[in-house]
Amino acid sequence: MSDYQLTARAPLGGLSIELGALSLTEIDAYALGSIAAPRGERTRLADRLGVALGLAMPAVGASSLSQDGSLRLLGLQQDQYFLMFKADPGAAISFLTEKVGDAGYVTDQSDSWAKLCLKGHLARQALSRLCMIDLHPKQFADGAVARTVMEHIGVILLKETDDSFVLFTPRSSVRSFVKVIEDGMRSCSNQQESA
Amino acid sequence: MSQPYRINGGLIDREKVLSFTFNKQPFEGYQGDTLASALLANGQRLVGRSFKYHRPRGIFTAGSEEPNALVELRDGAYREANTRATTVELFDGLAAHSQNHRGPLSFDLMAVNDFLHPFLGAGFYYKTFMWPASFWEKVYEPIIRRSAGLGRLSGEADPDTYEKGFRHCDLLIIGGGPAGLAAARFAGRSGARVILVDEERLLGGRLNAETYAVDGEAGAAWAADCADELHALDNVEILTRATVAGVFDHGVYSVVERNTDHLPDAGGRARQTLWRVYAKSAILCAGAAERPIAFGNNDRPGVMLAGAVRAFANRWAVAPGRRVAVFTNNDDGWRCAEDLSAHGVEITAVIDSRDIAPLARIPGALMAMGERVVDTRGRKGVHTITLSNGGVIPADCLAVSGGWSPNVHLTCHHRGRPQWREDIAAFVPGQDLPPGMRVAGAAKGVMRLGDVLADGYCTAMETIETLGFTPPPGEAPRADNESAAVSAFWHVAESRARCWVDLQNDVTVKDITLAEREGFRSVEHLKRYTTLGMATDQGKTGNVLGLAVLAESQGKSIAETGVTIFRPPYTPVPIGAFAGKSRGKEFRPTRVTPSHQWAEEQGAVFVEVGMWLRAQYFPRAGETHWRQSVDREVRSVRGSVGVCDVTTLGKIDIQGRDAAAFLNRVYCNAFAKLPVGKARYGVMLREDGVVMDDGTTARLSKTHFVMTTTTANAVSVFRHMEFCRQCLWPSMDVHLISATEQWAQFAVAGPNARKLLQKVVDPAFDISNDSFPYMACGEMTICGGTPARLFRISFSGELAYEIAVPGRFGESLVRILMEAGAEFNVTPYGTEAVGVMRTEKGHAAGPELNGQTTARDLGLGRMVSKKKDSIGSLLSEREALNREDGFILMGFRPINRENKLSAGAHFIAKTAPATLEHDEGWLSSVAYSPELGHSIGLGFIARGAERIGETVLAVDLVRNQEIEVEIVPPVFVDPEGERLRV
Repeated sequence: MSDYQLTARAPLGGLSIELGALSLTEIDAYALGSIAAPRGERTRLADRLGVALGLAMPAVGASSLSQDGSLRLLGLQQDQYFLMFKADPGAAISFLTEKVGDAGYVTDQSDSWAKLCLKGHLARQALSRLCMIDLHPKQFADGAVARTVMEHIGVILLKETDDSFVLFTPRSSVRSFVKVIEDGMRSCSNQQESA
Repeated sequence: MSQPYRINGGLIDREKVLSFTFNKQPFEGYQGDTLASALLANGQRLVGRSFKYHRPRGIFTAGSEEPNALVELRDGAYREANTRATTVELFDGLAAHSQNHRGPLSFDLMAVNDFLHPFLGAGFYYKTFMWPASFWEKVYEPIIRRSAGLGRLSGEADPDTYEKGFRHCDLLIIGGGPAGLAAARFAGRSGARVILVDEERLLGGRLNAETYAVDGEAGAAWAADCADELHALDNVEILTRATVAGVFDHGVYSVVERNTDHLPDAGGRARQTLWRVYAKSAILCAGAAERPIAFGNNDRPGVMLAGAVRAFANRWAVAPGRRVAVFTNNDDGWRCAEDLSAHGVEITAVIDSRDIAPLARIPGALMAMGERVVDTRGRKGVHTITLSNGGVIPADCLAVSGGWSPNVHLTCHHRGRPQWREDIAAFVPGQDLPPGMRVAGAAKGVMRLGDVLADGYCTAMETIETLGFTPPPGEAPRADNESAAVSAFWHVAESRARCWVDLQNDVTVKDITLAEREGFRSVEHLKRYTTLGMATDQGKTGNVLGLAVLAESQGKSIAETGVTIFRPPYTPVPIGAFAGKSRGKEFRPTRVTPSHQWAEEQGAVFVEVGMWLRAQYFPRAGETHWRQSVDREVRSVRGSVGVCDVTTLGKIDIQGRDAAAFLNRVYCNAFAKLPVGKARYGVMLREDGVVMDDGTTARLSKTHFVMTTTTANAVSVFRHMEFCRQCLWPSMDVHLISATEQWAQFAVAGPNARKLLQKVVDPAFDISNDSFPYMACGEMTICGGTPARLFRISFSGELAYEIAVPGRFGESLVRILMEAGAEFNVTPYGTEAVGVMRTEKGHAAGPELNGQTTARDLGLGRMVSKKKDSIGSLLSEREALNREDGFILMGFRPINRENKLSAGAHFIAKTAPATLEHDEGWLSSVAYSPELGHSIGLGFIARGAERIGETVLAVDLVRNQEIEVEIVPPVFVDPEGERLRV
């Protein structure tokens, strides 16, 4: 038994902010891994994920959700997917390796990204202060995914519902990101109050 | 009496009395007033001084086109100069000050300029300040600078905050007047996503200023009903107090929304939002702006545009004068006389330049048909006017209408040229509109209300059908078509006094004719020479008048003369709105490493490396100079063990069947046969053979590598490799993903590094020298099962490792390493100590990899494998890059060991002068070596390898330093690398 034990620390230490009808919460209970399809073997990977996880391969810009809601596969770019699943981040790589086997190349991304959830009926308006993508339901359906940039910071954006967005942003700059998203939330809330 | 010029009616709330000050004098107004209407209600006609001649000036318009009534608003750091009083919504406690005068507003000492006007014509400064040349910068420029400009800047940082945002729509409607409302209501009902933008707080445009009826109700009431309906539609977004400032490519429009300018205090909100609107189509319904007629002394306070005079009366319940005269060349001017007369204001005369029968009976008014106003009198405001027939008419307000000019500006932002329409004597949008834009209503030259409403409606129908929406049932709103006949009449030729064309820039008819005589005949030249149409109003009222005068003096038509190009922004935008959040420390995001908080606790001094904050050094009690801290850190590492956070180095996860072959192509040295469990130093070249980056790459499995890059090049190397993967060799099975943030990585360096790591690495993993030799790597667990990666690599030249754990354990790991290393007196070290140790070891870093050096220059020429092809290897063979007298990276030490070298010094032979032609190279990195006890340096010098032992001068002309240095091999410490392998 080692004399030392490492303690995990979430990028934001479990941040939770409420501003008016909007909330921003760190969701650290999710693990995240990338899965890349070997060249020419997308179908084999799709079959494997279908059997092992019960998930369909999403198109780029979309995601598929398992029936129990515990797994979500995000189509990020050609032949690259992110699997988001409820688990201790420490378990990510062993889970991915076991489920994907040799049908894909997996990389643990659980610690690369701070994971935030923005909720509230003004969520879309708050994001409009930061995000150049059209998030109108007609253009950005539930489950849609986008890689984008907000105030110079890279973000992976997932729309769960019209009032719930998940944002992955690099761990190192997450405090800067929270500052700008908080500004957007405050701006929306103030506008709502003064209206 | 308070507000003596207030009359009945208006769209103001008399229950809400607001107090404000102008030049510290208290006044009152009502909710719904603008600063201009409130000043007029209080009889304050004089509000500022003109730009050049410091003539008294008043309020001229009622909108954003105002050239005259510019004030400084608010106090202290919040002060904003050149604010148009006509666009400022009154709020309680508002403080405004007049500008551009020395001494009180009513007695401006600079008004002496007005007496000197014969010497101050257009372009006088080009001709006047010629000699002596020694006066140019010392005398003339300071005087001109002091005299130029209008308002004063606060000189402090803008304390307000600004933000940016993005909106998307099928249809952007610019302007919420009658055409815009008709279009928006129709499009809104169709289900299309509509954004309606208007610069005012109240939708309705001229409907709020006129007395017309629409669909059987008062125009203002119809506009309010429309606004209510639009507000209730989910698919319609309304931005009021917002201006479309520019039209850009791909249907992008910039919109400045003023969130808090109408409030006493921003209350934490962003003052303004700069929206980028992506619109599939747009309808410009920007209306038209009235223009003046040039006649003698037409700039006195009280001379106003007729449309503004009746707007103040109808909307703001203010009579701009007690005795009003009207001077017009069109039918619209008569409505001013009718409306004011209906409000009980005395109309002393209606002067129409057309010799026609009077269009209306105005009780008590003199009808002067076919006459002109030739002059005005009145010291601080108009008192009487003189007609061309010699008659003198009393008037404290002269309402002037020279016709209306469609607001075509936004149609020109893609360099479209407006076209002249003789029947309305105005420019209308040309054929080459920005893609997706249509124009409706007065902005298109449709001047009568019934037609305007129908045009807005029909243009919206055409647009939404193009967009694929089904037109909703219903009819266009209806209104009577008022008469709008106009005759082109620009200036009163018989006026002897100066006739103003551009009030903001003090440009007169004479200035324009002078410019024409002096050869400035193109409209663009005229603009630059006379300043016609420049500054905050961009000539919205004066431009067409100026062009007409120019055309007349050239004997050309206005169509032939043309118009200057309109560019963004449409109205002034604060610089802060362009900056948004990008200011101060938030100009760019800050990246911190997992051990940042711990380093802060240690009192680390941080340095910015790109966006990263890295610990530069860790001062301890008693250390008074950074060198003391850095020397101690270096000695500790070389003497025992130190720990440094190296998380910022780029880490790229590379997987695939062709990963090894891929690396073999992007690195110039061999990688194909790198064994699993080993790391190798690699050099990456650009296509032109110059070094791009270096780093180590470790092989974790047959198909899995982890590459490290320098901190600075992490993104560019990743981008380069994605380009190679996707575009150069798409058939390869290779996948890349960044793992920079995934792993917290620490260098553990020094003779006791292994002993320290053995305390945290789980016993199942043998990291002894035999089992885990220099350049070994492997995945393992530490601290009882936490996954980790260990690399035996060294930048310091000592026995060293880099240990990586998932980011969330990073802070914990550094604390454990400190705790476990206490028995070895473990020392945290920062980037300065790294820099010293790598210089001692002759390792190249940023100053050496400067985008100009080749592998050969760096002494790494043999690494460029000729047994394979790789990016840059071929072009690295170019003759010029392989000259015998080329630069080589060498070490340098001062002959006098007390001397301190400075990076950037250039090498000159001892006998040669310090000139460019004798330049032999440069010193790229320097450090004080605690191990050697003197300053050392790395640098590039011609034929360096052959010149070991030679003495040259390191000349630093910036620091005025000249030091004799000896050329030595670049590795100062442990040249055989024995410490690495123990």
